[in-house]
Amino acid sequence: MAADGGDRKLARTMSFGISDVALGLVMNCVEDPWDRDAISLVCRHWCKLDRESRKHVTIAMAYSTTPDRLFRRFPCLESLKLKAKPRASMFNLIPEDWGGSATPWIRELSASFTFLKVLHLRRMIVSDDDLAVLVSAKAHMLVSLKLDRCSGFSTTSLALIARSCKKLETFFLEESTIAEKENVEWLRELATSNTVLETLNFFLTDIRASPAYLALVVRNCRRLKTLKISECFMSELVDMFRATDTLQAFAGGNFDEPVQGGGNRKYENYYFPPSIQRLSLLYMGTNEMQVLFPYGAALKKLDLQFTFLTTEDHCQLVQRCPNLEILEVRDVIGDRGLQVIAQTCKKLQRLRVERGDDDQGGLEDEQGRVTHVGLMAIAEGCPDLQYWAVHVSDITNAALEAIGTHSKNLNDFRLVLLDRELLITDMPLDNGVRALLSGCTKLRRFAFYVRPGALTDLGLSYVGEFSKNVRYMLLGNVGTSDNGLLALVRGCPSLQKLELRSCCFSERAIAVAALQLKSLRYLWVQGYRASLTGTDLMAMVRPYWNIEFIAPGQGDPHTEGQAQFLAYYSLAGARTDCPQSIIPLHPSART
Amino acid sequence: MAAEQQTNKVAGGSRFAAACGLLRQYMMEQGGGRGAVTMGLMPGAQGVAAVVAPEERINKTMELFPQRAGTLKDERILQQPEMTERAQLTIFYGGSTVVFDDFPADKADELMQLANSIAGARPVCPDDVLLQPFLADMPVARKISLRRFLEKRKGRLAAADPYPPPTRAANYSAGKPVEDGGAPWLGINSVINLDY
Repeated sequence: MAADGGDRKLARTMSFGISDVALGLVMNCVEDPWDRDAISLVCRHWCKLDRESRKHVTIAMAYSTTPDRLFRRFPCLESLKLKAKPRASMFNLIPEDWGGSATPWIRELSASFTFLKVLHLRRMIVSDDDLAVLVSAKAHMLVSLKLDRCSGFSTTSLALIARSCKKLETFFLEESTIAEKENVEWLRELATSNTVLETLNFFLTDIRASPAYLALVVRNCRRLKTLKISECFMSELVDMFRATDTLQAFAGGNFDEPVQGGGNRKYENYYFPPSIQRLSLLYMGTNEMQVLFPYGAALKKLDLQFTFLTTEDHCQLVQRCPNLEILEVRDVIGDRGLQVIAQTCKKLQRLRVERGDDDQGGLEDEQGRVTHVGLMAIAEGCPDLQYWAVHVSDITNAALEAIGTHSKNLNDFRLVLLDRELLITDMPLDNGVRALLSGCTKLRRFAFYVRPGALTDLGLSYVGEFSKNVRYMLLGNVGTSDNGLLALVRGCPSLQKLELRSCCFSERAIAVAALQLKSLRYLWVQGYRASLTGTDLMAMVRPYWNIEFIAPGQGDPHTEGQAQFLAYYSLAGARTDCPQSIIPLHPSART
Repeated sequence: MAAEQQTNKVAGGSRFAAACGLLRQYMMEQGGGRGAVTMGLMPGAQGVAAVVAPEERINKTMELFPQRAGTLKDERILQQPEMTERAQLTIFYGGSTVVFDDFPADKADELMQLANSIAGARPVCPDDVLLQPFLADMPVARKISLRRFLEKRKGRLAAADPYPPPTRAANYSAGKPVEDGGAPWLGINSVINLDY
């Protein structure tokens, strides 16, 4: 009681002892949402100050709250990022009709949020009608519109946006599925209506890119720094590149076109503006990669995921790019390529090594195999690495230990052990994982997708013990029994989002684990030992939690026999738009 | 009437498929109704998992997994024997999924008892045996963007090489799940030739 009274007195002192002017000035400098959350819990007055001064909110799960609730809490928002479909949908693991409509959000945003000028929707369904509503209310305000991996709209809406939103500086459509893809009028509208555009991104979409209109965009939008487009012959983009001296990032294009008279001579002396720093070129092969050589030293980012390069090509190219900060490749780069990176790219901050083709046992190139050898080289050679996602064919404890020893700046590490090789050099990897986690103290995100036996229950207990700051975790094929999962959840105090795939855990253990993790807000599980009746999953049903069972036969045809479920913290209550394929479990069902 | 959909993936499920055929035949002779009964015969447990979903689809919140551990013996169904409830029945077994519409609850009950008696007769598998199907059934997922690129890449490589060498990939991929399975270009041009 006495302590309580003391706290209350302290709260009063804090809220009344500082002038509102001073508080306002301080609040304006606090941007970290975690800090703001903490501040808003001090007293009602501080909560109100946060309410009136919060400019940006990210909602990681659209069904976790309602648009109305958001408005009541933060009416002065200028920027909102909203995500809906589970991450697994990017891997085709979630049914097409899962949900994630932007309609209720766009309606509220358009009607109530007077100051909104930045909107980022990710993995949502956005209709043409939604965009019409948004444009009619916000055309004069919108500075940035990102429709990131969204679907449901057409190029007609793009034209409307281009025509109406004259303040738009960022127009982002990457990997969205857009209808009426042959229509290029929107690009013409954009070029003739907008002069302030800085970022235009329709990378990895199927909509047509018109070289003439792109050149017009570049001429009229003199501040354009980032241009990421769909497939379009590079030979037709020369005029466009010659028209800009501000372009820093380019992605898209297409090198693969009919060659007349043999050899791709047309790319000799290919011109990029001298301002160029970041490139992602599609279908670039051995014969074309010399277009990059003159620009190598200027490049800070190189994305080679969508190219035809061999291991040797990667080595040749990377050698010429000593200033790279971001590199994205497929595993065809091989250990040799990684060794070249380690020797050359001392400033590397982000490295992604994606999984290549599965033909020929997964070897696109006979040297294209990434193992502990390459990992150790990178760990020792690239001390600034912050983000590292890698698909490996083989792995050892020593390599993981090397990462723990050297990669002190890692905040995001993701490792997938491919199922190509029958035998792995070193199993289990328990000690390596312990060394990695205890060494990389800045780690906030951690993914470890291996194979049965590669991480035992003991290893899982290490993960729990040494991942105090980890907020997101993906684990695949880990553990040997429920005890492993239960040991894991004795730790992980900061874990908010957990994804489990293809693990031997029983339904009961998963339910117990979900209750144990105090920070957990999101759990996705696919491939687990279902109980005889499914009853055990009900153990994790509780107020403010939505649990959605996704019956097998949905999503990816190759995992259709596997049940999955999604559980997330929600103030919005049960959602009303569940398709047939989703079966919600609700507290009322417990009685 | 009894619209059924069968997805058969794993070879060796033929006996199961035959059993389902008989079941379907039986169903064809029955009448219609509504609701949902889902029943899972999970491969992992080599036993039986049953899920009952009574008539609550109106507000999309259903008592999917009754607390009572009595498999299909949902009390409400038992208390109202005169009302033969019909619902959708889904069976998961050995990597296969079969869905029956309008399955009578009492027949589902019989089926579950039968399945339970079979499952109960077998010893429970040790954990390490259980692990195997997971690896086989769940290949490492690939990002859609990358999958699309690799499909196009394969198409282009095939187009660039008019005389593709005989398939070599078969040796590697045999017994291993092919994630992009079923695509027509698979195995056409397995040897990659980048030195054009």
